[in-house]
Amino acid sequence: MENLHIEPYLQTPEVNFDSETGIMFISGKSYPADAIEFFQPLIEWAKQYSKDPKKKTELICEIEYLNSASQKQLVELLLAFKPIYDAGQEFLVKWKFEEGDDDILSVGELVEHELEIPFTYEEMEF
Amino acid sequence: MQHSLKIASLKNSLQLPLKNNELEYYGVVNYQLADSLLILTEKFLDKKFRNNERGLVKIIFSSFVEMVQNVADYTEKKLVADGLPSYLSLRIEANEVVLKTSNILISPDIDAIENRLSRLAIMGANDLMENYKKELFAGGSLGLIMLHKLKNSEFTWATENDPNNKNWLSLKLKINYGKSAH
Repeated sequence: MENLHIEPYLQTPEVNFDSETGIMFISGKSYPADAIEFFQPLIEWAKQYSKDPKKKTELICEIEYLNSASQKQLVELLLAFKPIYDAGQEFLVKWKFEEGDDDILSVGELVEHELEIPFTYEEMEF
Repeated sequence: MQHSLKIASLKNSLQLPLKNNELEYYGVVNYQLADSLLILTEKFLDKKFRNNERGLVKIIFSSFVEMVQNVADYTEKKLVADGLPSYLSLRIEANEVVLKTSNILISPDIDAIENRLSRLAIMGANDLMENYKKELFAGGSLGLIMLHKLKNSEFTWATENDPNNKNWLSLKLKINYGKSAH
């Protein structure tokens, strides 16, 4: 299937979903007022990919800002990828956040706990 | 200087008064306006606070995003057809930043919104977290919960009728920070 690439814009992150390598990448700020409009193509892509995933899939999230609307859509996106993990295939979320940003860290921890998919955590500079 | 000119130009395009420590807007707050104002706010805060205060800037900015987008959301659903205005303000004071929004509420919504705000106001930290989890995974509204969870801050709200019999909801968030802005 075709890869998905979206350039970062003022309030939306860069997106790189690669169906050949199984590496998915979301990076930057996400605070659009209409987050549904932004995330819908990502969710549709994830659903399609999950039908025939690579042996190993990684979703790397480098999040600088995440408004509440984006938090909800990110949950929907993870739910779209979750069938990969539920089917016993390798799926990992790498959650990267700014040093000291407990809010973004706690969003990751909460989602990991509630969706029961594996996360790793790493601080980084933006 | 270039940074200041960019802010001045953005303020001009949004017809905002040029104040040193305040952003203020009165008019229809649709998604497009909200997006533009928040981009301006980001630049404004970066200019006002030092580089080593990114954590504080993020807290202020994230809070204002939730407040402004709450208004934009409500406007798009309920107010934009009638061109009804709202008020948004972010003001930096000596030891705190004060964020304010005011928007008209249509009559059928008043009770539900007042009930929700009253319930949130009396919740402890654990209950707020439980509500936050519930709304995050059930697709509900998170913004007000996030504002209530914020530490070193004071969140208040009020509803009132104006002389034209319009009902207004005002939200005010004060974030304490000490003498860090310049």
